[in-house]
Amino acid sequence: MPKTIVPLLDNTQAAFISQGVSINIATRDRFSIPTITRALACRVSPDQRQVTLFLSAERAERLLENIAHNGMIAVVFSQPSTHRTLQLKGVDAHRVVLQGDDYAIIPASTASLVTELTAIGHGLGFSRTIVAHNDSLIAIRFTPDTIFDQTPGPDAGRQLNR
Amino acid sequence: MPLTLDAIRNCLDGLIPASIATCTPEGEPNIAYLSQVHYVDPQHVALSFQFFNKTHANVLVNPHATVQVIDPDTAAHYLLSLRYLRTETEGPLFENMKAKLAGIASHTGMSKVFHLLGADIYEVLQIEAVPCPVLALETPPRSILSALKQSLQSLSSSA
Repeated sequence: MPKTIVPLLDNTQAAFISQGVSINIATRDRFSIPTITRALACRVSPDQRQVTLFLSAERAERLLENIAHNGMIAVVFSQPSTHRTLQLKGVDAHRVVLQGDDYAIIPASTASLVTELTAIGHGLGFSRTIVAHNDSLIAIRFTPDTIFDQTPGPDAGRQLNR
Repeated sequence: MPLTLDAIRNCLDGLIPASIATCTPEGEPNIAYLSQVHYVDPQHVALSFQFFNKTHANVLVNPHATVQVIDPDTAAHYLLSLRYLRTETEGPLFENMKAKLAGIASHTGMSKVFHLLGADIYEVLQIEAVPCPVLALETPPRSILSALKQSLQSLSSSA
């Protein structure tokens, strides 16, 4: 019998990173100097083994250079109202083409983050601007191989998939 | 003209969590949220060190870090390229950050979680504005804290 590969993300974690979270990506260049890029939304694949991130193309120039060089990526997903935060890491980040239904996921996801931000007191204009973008979108896909609890506190950084 | 820390002082008030990216010597990136980016002087910031975490471990061996801060009024994003210098665990800067952290913790409901172990001092190598939509302000921003600090320094040097 073929060996069953258990996905890294469980159902709760997959749901958590898909709605109402702020998403920031770290990549690094050939000199191990890191950079940060905000993503607008993400999609978890049906088998929960891959995550696709959607972001503004104009912000992504350095990220694309970095992942073309080494594919390494770390992504934090944080819910503003609870501070609950997960960090996923992978080594195979690469650019993919957006699919038709991706364009429906993005406004739904950004609207849920706006709801989160206004619920904790940020203005509607500010919250909408955080998730706005001027130009075309791009998509980055990776296979998470490690997951960390990054919620502020003494357990921050605890690996969840040992 | 290059961006200065004074020009983005509004982003360092702790109202919007900053994020920090670091990297292991083997090249594994790491990203975490920061509760405090503290203005030290025009070329330096101090970051709160609360737990011995991956960020702190990384900068001890690879001092390069990038911090993203967000203007709480305009939503403008800035990336600060930093180089870790040292950690201070006592003195006026540490006490100042400790008091400020207590305020942030109270404001965000994290009083039982946040506890300052040290102030990590970084040199600011570069600041760049992220290309992204920005909310227009009705009145131009003023860096009141910077102006106050400069006034106090002028007064003390002329005393």
